Amino acid sequence: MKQVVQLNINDSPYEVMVAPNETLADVVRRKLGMTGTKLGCEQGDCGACTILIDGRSHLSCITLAVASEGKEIVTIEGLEKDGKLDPIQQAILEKQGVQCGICTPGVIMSAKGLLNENPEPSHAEIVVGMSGNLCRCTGYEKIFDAVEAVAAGEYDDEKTSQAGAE
Amino acid sequence: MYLPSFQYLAPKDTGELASLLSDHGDKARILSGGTDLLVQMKSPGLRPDFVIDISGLDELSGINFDAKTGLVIGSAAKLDDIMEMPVVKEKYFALWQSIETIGARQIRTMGSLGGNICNASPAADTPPALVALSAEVSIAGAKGDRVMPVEEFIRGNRQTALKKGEYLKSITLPVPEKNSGSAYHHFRVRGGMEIAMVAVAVQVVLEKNNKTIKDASIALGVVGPTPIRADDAAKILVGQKPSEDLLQTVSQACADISKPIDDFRASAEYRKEILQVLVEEAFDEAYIQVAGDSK
Repeated sequence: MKQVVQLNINDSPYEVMVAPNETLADVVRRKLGMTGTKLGCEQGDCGACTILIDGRSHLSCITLAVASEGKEIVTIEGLEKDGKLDPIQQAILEKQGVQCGICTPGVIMSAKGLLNENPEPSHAEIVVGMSGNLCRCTGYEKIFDAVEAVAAGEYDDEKTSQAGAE
Repeated sequence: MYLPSFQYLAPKDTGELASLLSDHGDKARILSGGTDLLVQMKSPGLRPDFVIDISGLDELSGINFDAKTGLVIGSAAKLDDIMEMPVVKEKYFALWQSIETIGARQIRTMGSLGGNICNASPAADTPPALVALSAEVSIAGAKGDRVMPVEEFIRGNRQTALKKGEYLKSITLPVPEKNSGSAYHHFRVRGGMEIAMVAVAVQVVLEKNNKTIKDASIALGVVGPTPIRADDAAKILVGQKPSEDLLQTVSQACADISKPIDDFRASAEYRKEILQVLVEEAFDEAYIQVAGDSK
């Protein structure tokens, strides 16, 4: 039996008709057209579908859309603000943490969740904190470099805007 | 990969939960974090008609420590929230370690302690730690509440003591005695998103001299359908000071009562070997927490 659910995604309200067995990943991708969230294993192992719910990283392939009402959902599409990439997005680009790209949205959302919970993680905490995201290309080091750079403040707003002004 | 059809029910309080469970009983499954239930429903087999979501129930999500009654964890409390309570790392280190090893950060954010117990996987991480820490579960049902030790609650592979209409309400860990320490050690091949092939949890209580063992409990995981409380092996430690010979006797006693299986992850023989190493390692870590590293 389908029902209308109110979802708050990337600070915008959405009213969607969903069946109870639809996952948040499927609703976001198929019904709302936000295909930035990727599906990999679809059983909670690979982390490609990672999104933020109330600031913390969740696996959207094993989250029910009907159970997501009243929560603050952020997908990869919600990170860019006023044409400016989020620091972690910029860092992943510049540190070359992307190769084929399928894991990248999940990696970025996971890093975002990690930094929300722990703004200055150590290298070891980054390695453990990112262990829920599989990447078959980069060997992870460049991803860790990017998270470390953001944690170290290399991509803070002030610095990037200063760099832009120079 | 789609989920089969089901009716979604989100009770507003435990009263409504109880009446939904008595109405739908065997045809319903309780959804807490979904990290086990929804994955199982995506593969052939599990097809509940009703999914009852308890994740929004504050009554089942509390984590409270009291110096007299101990640590009471609501069945729907998230693993990550439990780990973040300073008292858990301080007084129930084996539980903290067992949670830290589960899945990855996303899984710990979503998954609950009650779910890890009720899923009753022989390879689950928290049950051995809970058994070693002498945790008890509270079960709520129409006929009133029941309390039992975790090792009695988990009855077999994917089987619990829950009867129709009942649900797991909370998990209580008693306050550890003074001079006690605990540890959970497991063996696995990968660093993340991996399940243990053998696991051991140990709690030790030392006498005032910080050397002689006053009391100990040992729980063995993944070497049988349910966690095994190795009381006879733990008794060997009582009244003794640790030595290599003593620990070898204890770890051998643990291996003797273990019933591991042969599968693609490890042979039974190998698991027994590893089990003995883990018993000694977990004991050492728990002991050092109290006695300090004097070796």
